[in-house]
Amino acid sequence: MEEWFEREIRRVRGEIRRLIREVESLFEPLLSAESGEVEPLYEVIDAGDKLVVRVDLPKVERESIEILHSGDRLVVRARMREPLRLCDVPLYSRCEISGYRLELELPPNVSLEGARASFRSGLLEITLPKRRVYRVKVE
Amino acid sequence: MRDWVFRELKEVRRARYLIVGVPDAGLVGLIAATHLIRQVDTELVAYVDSSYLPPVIMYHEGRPYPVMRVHYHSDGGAGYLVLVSEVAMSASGIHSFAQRLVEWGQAKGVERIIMLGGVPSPQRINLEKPGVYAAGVTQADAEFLERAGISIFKEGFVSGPYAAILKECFARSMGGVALLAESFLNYPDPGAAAAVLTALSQVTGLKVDVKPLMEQEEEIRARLRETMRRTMEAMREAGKAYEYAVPAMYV
Repeated sequence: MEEWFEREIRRVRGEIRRLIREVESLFEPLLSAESGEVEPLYEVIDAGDKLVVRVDLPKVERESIEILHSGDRLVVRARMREPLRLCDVPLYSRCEISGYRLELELPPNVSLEGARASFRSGLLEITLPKRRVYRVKVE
Repeated sequence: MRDWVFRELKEVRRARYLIVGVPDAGLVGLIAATHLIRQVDTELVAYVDSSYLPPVIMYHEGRPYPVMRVHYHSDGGAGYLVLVSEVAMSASGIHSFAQRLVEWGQAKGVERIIMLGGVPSPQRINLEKPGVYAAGVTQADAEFLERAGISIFKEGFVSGPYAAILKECFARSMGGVALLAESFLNYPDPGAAAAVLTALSQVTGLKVDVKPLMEQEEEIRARLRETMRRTMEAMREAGKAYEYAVPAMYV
């Protein structure tokens, strides 16, 4: 009985998270059409001693990329070299997409010290080293 | 009503090949099939409907334009049917789609179904020209690919809609080939689409100019951002992660 209950709770929680993601993604295009900035496609890879954030930034020049870090947030902004016009699509017909903005919450164990970034073929890769874990001996 | 219905808008002539491009890894199939339809002279002959497709209808030049369509191209002797889907299908509809597609293809005299897609490669960023692997079904498929000099996909998993179509072809001993270019998993990949179209030209002799695809690479990536995002959700459901796994029999 308990096992069944736990399983059900897990399933319901998973479903709620999925629904929240779905609703957020539903409104994302509306918000981005207003601001002219869209959230780029990205992935976060846990590569052992480092975290790699890969961001797809087509139509962008290296010089226009801004990477900011404040508190536990990483913000990537980039301007397109020319705006993306989707005039035939009513949602975007009265505005242009001129750039990207990505805001990510970083886990507490990554450090901006020693972070590196590279940009190749429209793909930005930010490597963030993880902080060392110190073991304290209990006497 | 059947799970999947092929609605023919005019008489669909017999064809040697049925080419399939649906949204999957890197949207390779969708990009390649869309470019193919634009490059060669095709006519819209049918569309596919199902409750497994999202309830959307697209408009193009002011007129309804179904999201899953079949175009026909006549290239001298061989006829080509090209099925393209703008939207990913739900995982629960994949098996019935594969069954109905192969059945319909057989009724149209199709000798071989050729699927265009991507196989995710973690090294994609370092590849100027992605390699293309072909997964076939019959002995005739193997010979067909060998003659064209395409590398055969020897070990590994294929997942998603193409896996179901390959399985159905296998069950019916029908020719079926998936041309899979090394691609990004979650970024639209016109470079990989150009590679599969080049391989398609090699195997069928159909000439497709991929230069415009490469020239508009960044524009395509920017425009397909939202479609890629929606497709990712469907890929997660369809067991796409299997493609990173090594089969036990290989160990």
